[in-house]
Amino acid sequence: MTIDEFGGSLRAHELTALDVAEACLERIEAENGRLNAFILVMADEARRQAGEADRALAAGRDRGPLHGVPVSIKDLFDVRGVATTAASRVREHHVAKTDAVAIAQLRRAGAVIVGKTNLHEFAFGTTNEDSAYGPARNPYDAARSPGGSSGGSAISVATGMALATLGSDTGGSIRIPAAACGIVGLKPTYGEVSLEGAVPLSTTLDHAGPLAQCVGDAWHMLQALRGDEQLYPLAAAELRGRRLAVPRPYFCDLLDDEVRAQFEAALDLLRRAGVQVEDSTIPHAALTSPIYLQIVFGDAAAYHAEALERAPQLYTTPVRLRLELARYALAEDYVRALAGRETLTREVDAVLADRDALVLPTLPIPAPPLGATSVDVGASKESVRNVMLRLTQLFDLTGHPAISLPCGVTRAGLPCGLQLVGRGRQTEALLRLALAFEELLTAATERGQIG
Amino acid sequence: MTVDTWLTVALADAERRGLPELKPLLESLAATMRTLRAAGFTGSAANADGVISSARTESE
Repeated sequence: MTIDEFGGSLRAHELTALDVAEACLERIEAENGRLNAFILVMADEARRQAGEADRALAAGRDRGPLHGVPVSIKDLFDVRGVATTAASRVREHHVAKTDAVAIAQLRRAGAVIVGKTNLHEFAFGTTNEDSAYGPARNPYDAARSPGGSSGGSAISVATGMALATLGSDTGGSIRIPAAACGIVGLKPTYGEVSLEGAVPLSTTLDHAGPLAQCVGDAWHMLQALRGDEQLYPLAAAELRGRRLAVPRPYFCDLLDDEVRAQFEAALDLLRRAGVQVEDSTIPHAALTSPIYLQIVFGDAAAYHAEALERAPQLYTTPVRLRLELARYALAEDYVRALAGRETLTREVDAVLADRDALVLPTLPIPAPPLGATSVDVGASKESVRNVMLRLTQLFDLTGHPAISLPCGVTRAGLPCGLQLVGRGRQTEALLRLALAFEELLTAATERGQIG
Repeated sequence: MTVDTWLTVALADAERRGLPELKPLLESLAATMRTLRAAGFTGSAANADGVISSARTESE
């Protein structure tokens, strides 16, 4: 059930917010033991909020599209009265005194919070297996990663434990799990959604944004998270005549064969819909990872240094080691990385100057097995972490809005994702294009043109 | 600090702190530092003009 479907039924008195909250809680009860999506289920609070939403609507107070909608929250954002664990024992005794700004906006829009979701510890990883609360598991194959770091959030939406969720994205942590779990993930423009009251990974690169079942739902979430006063449904863009750029060098060099096939099939669909699909180049794209690492390491080291000195044993071993590594980064390389980031931003802007968006896969591989540190991609063996970040982290550096859409499945039934990247600060225009493309992909999937 | 010097110091410090598992991670980070520095994104006093210029491409 999408947010619009829920809203239609709610306002037609065919169901209540409490009915749907109960359905989500039942799904959590049935599936959370297997998938480990939630760190904290807020059942009583969700029932109370849903009941209030029903009473408010009956009294004529309608807060808009998110009124009564059950949502989950990545356990990186403060929700007043409960711990923000960041999936780490370091923070197990923390209790939030107030809501994060994004949470306050969701409450203002009428959302019902069902619980807080699992993540890779401190959002410092892409697989969601290093968590003080145990690994989260992919709903399509529980022996595989759901992607991360917002893995529990993605699972919750993919399985109907919530209708939408709030995640964060520093190198791809919204888009990667969205792709691995077959849902939509939106990283808005840098700074568009407040991170006040969220545990940081890198204040230079962190973004907050929604994961949802469809583009329209992501739009409703975005409007709420931004605190928009004027709420309106998203209108799909006209696809014919649009120009999209495929940045082939670097981004298409290293792809799983089935991911590549689904991506090329999607490009064919776009061409047949009248879209001009043109190859392009981002000259310094291959330097994305070295630039990204220095910035994230510098920011994360500053935040974690004291806790690492006081109680290193409270971190999971892999995350502790990466944070200790981060502490060796040098200021001079941080400055070089900031300069590199400016170059990359100019290069992405240049490609988008006369195009509507970039189009590329989200994740070069299907969801990897839990516990894997390397994966075969074509003829080469690659680090799981590096390959999972490869196609998303550039746009955290540049701040451009980016969205992942479901784009078929592999023969083993694992979802693939396609990414659209919009012009700077033009998130709504990107979503209008994504909505049109989603309609095309959905129709093609129903016809069997996309796996 | 040169990358080689940095790596030597970092490896010794990690060993002293009882974190020998950092060795492959530090070596990998050193490789990315060399790549980043070679790109020349910042100006350098060692250059003849000493001003910031466009970053070199990898092929240069």
